[in-house]
Amino acid sequence: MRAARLSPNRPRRQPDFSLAIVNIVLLLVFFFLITGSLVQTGETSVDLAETSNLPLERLPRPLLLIDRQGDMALDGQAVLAEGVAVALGQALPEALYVLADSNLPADQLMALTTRPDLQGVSLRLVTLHIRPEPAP
Amino acid sequence: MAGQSGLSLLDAGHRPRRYGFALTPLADAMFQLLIFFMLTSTLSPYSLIALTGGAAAGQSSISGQPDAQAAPPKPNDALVIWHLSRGQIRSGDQNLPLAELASLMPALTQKGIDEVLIFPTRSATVQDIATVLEVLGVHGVAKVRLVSGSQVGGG
Repeated sequence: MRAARLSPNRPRRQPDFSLAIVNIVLLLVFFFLITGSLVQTGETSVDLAETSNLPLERLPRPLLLIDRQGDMALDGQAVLAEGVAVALGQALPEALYVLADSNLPADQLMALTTRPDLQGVSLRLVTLHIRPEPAP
Repeated sequence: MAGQSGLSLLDAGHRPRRYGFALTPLADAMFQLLIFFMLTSTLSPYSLIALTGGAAAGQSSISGQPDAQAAPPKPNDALVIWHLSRGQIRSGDQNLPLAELASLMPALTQKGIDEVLIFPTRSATVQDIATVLEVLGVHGVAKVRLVSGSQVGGG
């Protein structure tokens, strides 16, 4: 009786989960920021060559897309092979990342590697990482 | 009694006002960001193979020095020459499916071969190049040269 008089019945506060939700969502945002790569619609249209034993990498820029017909697009803008160096700008980047269709004839890719106007640019072929099959 | 209620009214006037921090707008903004990144990004199932620039396959270091493309192989170098065609390689008069290339690599490394010269034929595709470079890179072959302009037709 005395205890009831000393401490009036306060309404019990519901625990606030807002901060926890914000934390979790923030972690998810960080996850997608770190593991994801922003791609344009056309850049997912080619069937990339598949590898399974190479380490995973992000998809940096500039990206040169070469479809099965040999048509090229640099970061979404259609270019000809002769115009790739011009489209890259005055200061050529250190590396150019090539998204080539897996069925593209190899000589078309090789022709790109020997272009004199792309000398000094490291060409890197982007492949699709397929999870290696477990050994039997 | 009246004095008590008057005192409590006076106290209420001096009680410091509590400012609440509304987390709902923050949560809303976070959700907007999350949905944006979920819709616009793809998880990265990509790998990179260096075609020029000197880095070995699977190494995406862009600080690698340009490779000495014009340097001819030295006489003492252990060198093999492969003709790459669709789904297979030809070395001398032997044809080997690309699927079995990985099983050949231990024998090659035992022989001390550290340089491979690859001539892609007209039938070779980008997938064939990726497969060969992947196997060679994984097995630590130091030098791989892709020779373009090969007019050899192949299977």
